[in-house]
Amino acid sequence: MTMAAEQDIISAEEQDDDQIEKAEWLSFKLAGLDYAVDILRVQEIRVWQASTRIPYSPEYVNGLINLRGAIVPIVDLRMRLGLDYREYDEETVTLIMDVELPEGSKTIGIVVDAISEVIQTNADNSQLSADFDLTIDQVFVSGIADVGEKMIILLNVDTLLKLEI
Amino acid sequence: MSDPLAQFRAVFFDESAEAIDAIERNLLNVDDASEMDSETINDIFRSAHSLKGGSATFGMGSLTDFTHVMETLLDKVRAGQLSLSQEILDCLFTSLDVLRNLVAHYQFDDEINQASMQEVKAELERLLDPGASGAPAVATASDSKAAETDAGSEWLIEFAPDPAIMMTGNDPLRYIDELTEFGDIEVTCQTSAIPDFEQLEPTHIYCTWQIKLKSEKPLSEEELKDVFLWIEDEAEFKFTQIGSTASPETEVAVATSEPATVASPAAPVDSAPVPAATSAPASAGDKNAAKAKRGSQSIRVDLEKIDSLINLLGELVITQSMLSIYGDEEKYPQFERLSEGLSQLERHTRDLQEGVMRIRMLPIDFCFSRFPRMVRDLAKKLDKAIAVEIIGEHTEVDKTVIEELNDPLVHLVRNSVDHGLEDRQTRLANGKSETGTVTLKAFHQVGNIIIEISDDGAGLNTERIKAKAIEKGVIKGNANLTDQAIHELIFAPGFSTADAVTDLSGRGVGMDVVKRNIRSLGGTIDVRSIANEGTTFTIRLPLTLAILDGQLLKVGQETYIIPMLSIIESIQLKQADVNKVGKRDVSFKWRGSFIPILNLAEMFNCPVDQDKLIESGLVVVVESDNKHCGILVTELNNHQQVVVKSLEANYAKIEGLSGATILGDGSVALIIDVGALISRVRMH
Repeated sequence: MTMAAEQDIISAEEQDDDQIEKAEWLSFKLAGLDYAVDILRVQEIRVWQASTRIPYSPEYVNGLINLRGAIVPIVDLRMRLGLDYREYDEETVTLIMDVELPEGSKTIGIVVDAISEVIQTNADNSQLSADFDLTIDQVFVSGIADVGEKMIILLNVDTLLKLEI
Repeated sequence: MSDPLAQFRAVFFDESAEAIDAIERNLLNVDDASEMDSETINDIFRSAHSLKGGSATFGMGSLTDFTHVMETLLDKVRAGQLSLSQEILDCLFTSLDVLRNLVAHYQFDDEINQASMQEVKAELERLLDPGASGAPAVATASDSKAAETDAGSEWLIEFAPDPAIMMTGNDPLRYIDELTEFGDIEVTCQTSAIPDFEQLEPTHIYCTWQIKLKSEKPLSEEELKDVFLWIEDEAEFKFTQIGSTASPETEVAVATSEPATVASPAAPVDSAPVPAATSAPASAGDKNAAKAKRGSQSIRVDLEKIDSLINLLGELVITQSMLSIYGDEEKYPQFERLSEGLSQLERHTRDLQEGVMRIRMLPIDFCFSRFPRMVRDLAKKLDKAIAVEIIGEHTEVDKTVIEELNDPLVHLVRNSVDHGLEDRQTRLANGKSETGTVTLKAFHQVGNIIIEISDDGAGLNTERIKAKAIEKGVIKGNANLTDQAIHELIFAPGFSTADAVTDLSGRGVGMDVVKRNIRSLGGTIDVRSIANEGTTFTIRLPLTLAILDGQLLKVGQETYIIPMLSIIESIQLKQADVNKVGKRDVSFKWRGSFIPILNLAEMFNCPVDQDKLIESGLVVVVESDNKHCGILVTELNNHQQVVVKSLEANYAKIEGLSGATILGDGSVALIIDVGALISRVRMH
């Protein structure tokens, strides 16, 4: 390889870094798999607290909690994604999310098994193919991130929390 | 304050300041007179109209008269009969200054600037009728001139400051300068007291002044003294009025300080010099009173600030109840002092919460109670016999809602009185009682605040509304409309059926403003009218934040809240009293009639042992719209005031629930919408 070719490669890499925005995602565990949500949408992370059941609510809506005076619904993410229900334990956390819906922005919480880490990913790294069977509804997925050995499913908060009520 | 109307007046003053500012803002936005759009002129017109309505309510005659002229001019511009010239625009600006002066007159007892008011009014009237521009304008102008000389006054002020006055940091010239605000002055300086150079003390003043003040408006001695208030002890004054046109106020002032002058009618008022010392304390007192008056105004606070305060307080309450667990004396006897402190904290928190809540919530009475007086005055003017009935005046309404409701309600009540109710003869001829009734009613329902304004008058005249709507081009001539649709035409902009424009209503601006205001609050207004029986306007407003007196109860393990307003009683049923269909409880006999049983646990699908629930037979009898039903509950807890929070904000509307609240332990409890539940029971 000549020097010139080497330089070309370096500049191409630099360009990549400049052009593609790296986004930070908060990953968590759910039924043995890793999922992540856009960290900018996460308002706060709370330990699980008991909620008030809502009549006529879909099965995946856990109930309502009091978030500093605001009434916030909590969604059980396992149920939402059609996974098996699991009893909550001390690792169970609630992520309070900002959701942009057609009717306006809302605050909704999601319950996940356990929180993992903050990952960085870019568009290059997140790929989604239609025939890839994730067992969960495709509309909830905005991409797949490849972090080291692991595959992390990136979730689209806005479709995920567009509740059918 | 002792005056019961004072609070409403204060609100009106706030509103009028806003209205004047709004007009000014709108006028300022018009760079070029010819380019004003109809929306802006409508806005200006509405502000002026509100101002007139409000001032008439409080009997502020000068303000009403003035705004009436202004409004008439604006109405012509609005209707396109007059084009908006620069001249009109200028005149409107000067009108604003007059309006401010008039409002200040009623608010702080400031002197009305009669001269400028007459002048502007004359100008408005001249612009109103450009055809007859010359003659009447001159006439009014000379009228106002006459008024000027009548009202004007001339004073001779002798001002002899203490030689050492400069040492106190006062400059006499500044006070003389200040007199120019009242009018032209002519100053003569007396220098005869200046000593020889050797004796001259450079820091002393040896001059005295004679000031001739010529003012265009009547001036009282008090006002002049006010100018010198700061140096009243460091100088000697003599105020003498020149000329014979003493204003009544001056006479009074003279009378109080020197009764002897008045006692002898021969003594001319103008020659009664009043020693400054005698009346100085009085004038100081007046000044203080005026200051106090200005000080006791309300302040306007951004609602957002109050909201964040309310939320913070919610947190505080929860933290406090969390802490109270550790203050349990039985569990932790060693922390006696702590538990004392905590119980104090609890008390203070509660007081604080109540206080903050009270900022936002007001009984609708605040808005309603101005109407009996208003209707009485209107009825007298129109020679009608009208009674006002007020129901549910204790219903608490958000302050914003009350503020926004004022104007619409004034319009609606005025309309009812003016157009709705017939005069005595017609009523008697139609077989009604001589006295008509306007009813104002407020209540909470289905998560809304409902306000009804109804009258037992003639009802809306469908034919006339239709004819007018066609004439005004609101609808097409061949339009085929139901009666209800025709009734709703009254909300169309620019619609009015009154043949004569009166001081009361009939400019066709009212209903359109009403609808707009209500809609901006996220509410709706509709009208129901039956010929010869009356008209009812129903305003429905969402309950975004309201305090509710609620009964806490449990269904199984879940806590719900029923508004106390809906609850009639709680009873223990015996199984024998319950009528069943199959295994289901259907109804029971209550006060002589059968009412349905509502199984909340079943309806809301609560995890609960149904058999046990039915066996316990604890039933809360509730009422809505004169329908009753019994709600089956597991247990009744305490009753308390709760803050209603919307479920829609982050979730969605839920059938049978009007909202949610946060309990003392920080958990969320749902509030039952009795009206919706009862209507569902009927559907079964």
